[in-house]
Amino acid sequence: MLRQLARFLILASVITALTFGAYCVGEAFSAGPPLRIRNRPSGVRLYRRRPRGPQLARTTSFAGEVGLIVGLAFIGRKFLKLRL
Amino acid sequence: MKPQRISVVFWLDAALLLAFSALETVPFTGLAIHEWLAAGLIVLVLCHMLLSWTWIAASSKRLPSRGPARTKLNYFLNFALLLSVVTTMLSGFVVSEVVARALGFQSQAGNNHWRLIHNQASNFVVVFAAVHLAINWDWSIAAAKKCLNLRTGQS
Repeated sequence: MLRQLARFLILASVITALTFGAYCVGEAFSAGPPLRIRNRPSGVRLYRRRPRGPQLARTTSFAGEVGLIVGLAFIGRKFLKLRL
Repeated sequence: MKPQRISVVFWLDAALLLAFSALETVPFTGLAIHEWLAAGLIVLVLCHMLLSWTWIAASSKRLPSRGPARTKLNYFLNFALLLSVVTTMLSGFVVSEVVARALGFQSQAGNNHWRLIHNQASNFVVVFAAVHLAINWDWSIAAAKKCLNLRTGQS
């Protein structure tokens, strides 16, 4: 039983690390350069929306998110099948 | 379930999964698509619920009686998913910059309180969606094999 549990925990860790890691890396690089704030002579602050980063990073975060949901479901399924 | 119905439900669910994943990654879609996609998702969620209406009605009737704990747990998990989706959409509408303005409402985009609710509820959506998929995993795999013409390896 312990071996079964250990195998499950390793599988769950690998899946979570890969999918959540891909999501986090994608999100980190898809934010683009920092927000620019300009001060107008009138004293009104002009905020500019933060531009998006490279397409690859954005796609990585999307793929990571799909993988995370499916991966968590797979882990959940495996957990339900474990007879602890 | 009829093969045609299985196909409709499967592709609807696949679209829901991809749409939710796209909504969770705002830089992927951009803010305008994020907001309009969320508005369109209301229709998909309603279709998903209507296609599962037989189960919802039967489970709601059986809820007060002594039934299997698994069905009750499944019911409450689905209800929690619906609640988190509704919370995410409502809070998203409050802080929306594109859809709210297009529909003539005043945007509360700078309201951090609603933004926090929106972000936290969307995290719950991910968790409950994963649990929802885990519970229906066998059906999803069987439907995917049928709809995508995948062979199981056993002849």
